[in-house]
Amino acid sequence: MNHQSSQQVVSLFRVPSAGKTEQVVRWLIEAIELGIFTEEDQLPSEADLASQIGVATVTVREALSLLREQGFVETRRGRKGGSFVTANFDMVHARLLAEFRRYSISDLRDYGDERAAISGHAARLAAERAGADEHEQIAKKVRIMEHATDRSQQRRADMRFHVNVAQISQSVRLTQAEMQLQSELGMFLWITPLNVEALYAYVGRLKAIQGAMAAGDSTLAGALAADLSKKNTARMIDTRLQLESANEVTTREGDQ
Amino acid sequence: MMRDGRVYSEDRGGDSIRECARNIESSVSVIINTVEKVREDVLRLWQQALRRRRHVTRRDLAELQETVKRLLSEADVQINGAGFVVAPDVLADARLHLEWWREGVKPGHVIPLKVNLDEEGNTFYDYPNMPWFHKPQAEGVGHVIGPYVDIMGIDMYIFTFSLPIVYDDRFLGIAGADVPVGNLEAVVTRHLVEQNHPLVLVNDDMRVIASNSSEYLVGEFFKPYAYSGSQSRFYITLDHSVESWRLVCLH
Repeated sequence: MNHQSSQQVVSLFRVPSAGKTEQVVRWLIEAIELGIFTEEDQLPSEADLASQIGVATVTVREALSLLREQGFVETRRGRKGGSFVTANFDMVHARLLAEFRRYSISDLRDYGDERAAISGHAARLAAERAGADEHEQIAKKVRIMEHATDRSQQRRADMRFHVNVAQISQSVRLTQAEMQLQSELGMFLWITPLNVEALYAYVGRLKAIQGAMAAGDSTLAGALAADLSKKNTARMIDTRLQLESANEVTTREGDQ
Repeated sequence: MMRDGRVYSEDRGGDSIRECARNIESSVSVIINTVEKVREDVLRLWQQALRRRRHVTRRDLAELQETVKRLLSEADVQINGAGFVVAPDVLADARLHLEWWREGVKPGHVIPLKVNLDEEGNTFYDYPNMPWFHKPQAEGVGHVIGPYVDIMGIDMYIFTFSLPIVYDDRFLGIAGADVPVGNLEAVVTRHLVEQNHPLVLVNDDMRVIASNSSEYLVGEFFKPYAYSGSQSRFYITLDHSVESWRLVCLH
């Protein structure tokens, strides 16, 4: 039993062990879209990428070859050779939106329901099971979110907050569930960054969860976390709906 | 022999519980000895390397693999992995580094633990800020951290035993070992179930490690005041660690 669980690689932003080439493609697209790698950047070696993403080197190689065919990366030979990003932001952003369109509103609502269950219960348990060290960790995550100005930072800070709460719940299963939910659809919450006011309100919500945890109020912490999930789902669905209308406009324009 | 109700034998079992605490202590000492031996080996390799050159590189630490492999096979508590986690900027050829070996799928084999040490990366394994690293560093003493959920490393529910390694007044990093909660439980629970009283093994923060009753579950806090009966506590020392565990007996 122990061997089985020790071989599982399910990590924050990593691909579940059952991951396919397509998921590595998605991981790389997201990384480029978030500006972690930009146009003309050299990507880490296949072996390094494999260990970062948590998949076999051969899977990375397949993913890179798919991306090469689609013109997102190119491979250069020679001593300073390797894989280089050739896609610009617009290309990867369009690709990500296309990905997002594949989810229906009902898919997204369903995703939100699951996240509310996972995050809500994780926060509930975390309020019961957090010690002094853990309260400090959460406070630190909130501070990072307060200073997150661009979407890449906001996405990362938000993800770390939620994964940390799940970790504090002392449940490996809840932590892994939270990480999988984050890596599957979490990205679509950050298609547009929160502006100063919205960020202030968002941080207020995180602080409220932090406060309930510090007070050991598990019912409140759970309710606040579930409510935040619900709000986030609504925001994601709004973005998805806007995409739908933008899509229609283009189609109509195309018809004329 | 009712454990969950309030019917117990007249004998309060002080001696046999003390014995139980000692058994747990000796099982845990195996882990601590392992960490101690890793520390000795790191210091030996470090000295060896410095005799040849003015600095130490990753390659100088390679021999540690054999030591960890041997130690993992000798310990009767199943240790998941052990090794040396290097303090930032101590090695000449890497800012951050883990010389950490964990059990492989094949019995008797060890594999290196691979984590992302790219500080800008999304999956960065930020070990300098993890309690099992920064506490021994700051305090100069050993620590036993856990139970906690590890992420980005081995992704399991574990305890980490760690000792600071200091050479020539310089903090080199920590020697450590990870023990999955389930593996420790396998060793501890059989001692607990032999007793007639509800017993709760807790860590320094009063977090439950194991117990012989479903009322006290691993990971939750044990609240002494929530129990109205009398309690006796038996301390379990963890050698060089500041933490100590307690075996709480509820009468």
